[in-house]
Amino acid sequence: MTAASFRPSLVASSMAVWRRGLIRTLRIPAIIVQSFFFPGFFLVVYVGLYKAVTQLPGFPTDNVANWYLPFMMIQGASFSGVGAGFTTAVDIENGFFDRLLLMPGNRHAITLGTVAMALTRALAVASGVFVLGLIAGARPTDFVGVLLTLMAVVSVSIMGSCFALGLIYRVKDQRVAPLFSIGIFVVLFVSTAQVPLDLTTGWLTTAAKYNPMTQILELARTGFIDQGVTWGDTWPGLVAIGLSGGLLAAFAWQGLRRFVP
Amino acid sequence: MVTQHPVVAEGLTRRFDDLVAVDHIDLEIQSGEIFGFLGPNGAGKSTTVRMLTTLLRPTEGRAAVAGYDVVSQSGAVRASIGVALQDAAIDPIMTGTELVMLQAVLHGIPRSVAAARGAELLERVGLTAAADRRVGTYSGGMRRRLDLALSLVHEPTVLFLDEPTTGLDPTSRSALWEEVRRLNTEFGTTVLLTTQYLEEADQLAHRIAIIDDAKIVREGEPAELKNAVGDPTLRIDVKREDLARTSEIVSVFGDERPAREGRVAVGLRGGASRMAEVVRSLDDAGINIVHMELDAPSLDDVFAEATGRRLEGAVEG
Repeated sequence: MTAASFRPSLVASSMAVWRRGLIRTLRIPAIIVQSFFFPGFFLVVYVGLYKAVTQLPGFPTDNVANWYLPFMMIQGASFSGVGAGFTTAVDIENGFFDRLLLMPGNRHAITLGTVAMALTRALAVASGVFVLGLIAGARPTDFVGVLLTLMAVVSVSIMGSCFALGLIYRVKDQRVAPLFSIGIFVVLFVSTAQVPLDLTTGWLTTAAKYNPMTQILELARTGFIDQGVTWGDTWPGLVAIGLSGGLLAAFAWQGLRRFVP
Repeated sequence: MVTQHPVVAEGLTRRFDDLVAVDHIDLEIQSGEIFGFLGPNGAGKSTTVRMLTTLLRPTEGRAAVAGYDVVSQSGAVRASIGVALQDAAIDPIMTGTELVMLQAVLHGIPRSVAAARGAELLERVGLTAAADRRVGTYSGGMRRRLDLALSLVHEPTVLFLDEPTTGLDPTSRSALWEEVRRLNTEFGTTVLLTTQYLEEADQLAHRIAIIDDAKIVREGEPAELKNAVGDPTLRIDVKREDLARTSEIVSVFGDERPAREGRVAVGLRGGASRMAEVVRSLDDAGINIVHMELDAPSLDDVFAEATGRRLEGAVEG
């Protein structure tokens, strides 16, 4: 039986790329420890320092852990996307990426498998941060809302990976890697990460208002605020995910198409 | 481009902005042939291989591999070829077995079939004992052999080896040559091999193309190319201050050929029978000969005759 006898499917190729990512992650625990450390550390610090902030008028919960937990889960998810970009940058630099490009099937399996691995890592980190949040005093108010938090985690992980991959596919140089973190930090913090939109002032109000991350965070928080899930808080987040996710997926997709010059 | 030849290129060209890396090259490799692509660093060998293996698009010209166009049928090309690129890019965190399985699945081979094939290939390249060790612990030679095994997982009809022995010790180099020969004779695999080593091209290739400065400058069977150079090369080492006079004296015995610094070389008309005459002439002129040798034409002479430069000595090997 020769090569021509077998037809590699997109799913099988993507799974193979994902499996390689999983092997690497399990063998280099620092990858996942680092992804967990920052959101876990910030959660503990914020819960300890900013308890009084929830007493401000207009805060949707008086439980500071409830306020910060979804944000930290989202932060962990975005870092997993950065990790996907770093891994790919290293593969490009050392030539392993060429080996992947030589697969006879659909080359987009590289993107799909890498994003799937980032998602796996994001879910692992988010689970750890969730447990830490519960220990720190967070108490979900709505089960459906927690599912929406999970959905936001998944979406941000995919979007973060697509952003990092789209960038590295175009630049093909590890030196662009710091831009992954910078881009994601700006998007995360120029939003309602710290306080609700009504409590922001100046340029931050305008920037946060148009930053899709604000809508995604509000979606992620619906299961942790006193009011619980409402359609009014949900649909803007879904639209933000749909539009940003679509654009970033296209950014990564086109990036790989242009990769072979 | 309809063709029966495993590799065909017509006017293949690649530019990077103002730099012409490959300049209108034509190739026609026969089925079951080991074809050597010989040239110095930066000559355009790897760029050509990258175009033929669909990792780079040609700027101009056309190429077909295994009967498929490298641009419009790139997936079919990749299904038919095995590639071991320069530097053996292998993930050091994974084991040999895991990499073989990854390669197999990426080529659409079911895991059940891949496991057996992988084990057989690792055995063939002598890596069974190291199969479950992380590749980061492998020596350079082991990595190259693993790279070769990976390129063979899907039983390709055409195999591209881009400088497969660069950086290897002589023993590992010979072992790899042996394996390439075996692949070619036992399985009829067509091999395109790029190299900067004259000996490698001479030992392995049925035909070679010499590439320099983006262009193919000579092509043919090694013996045929060497015969075309004609007279054997006489190389004489003398003191620096005697170089000019030596050059003048020996020019009577044949055409000057490129030589490394501190040495004079000529194509000695009449061969060995005229060596004594050369020695006498130099002696009469009071020139002290430090070293002298007469060699049958080599591929280096072919390269020198075609480019005006020597390849030997320019490459550490």
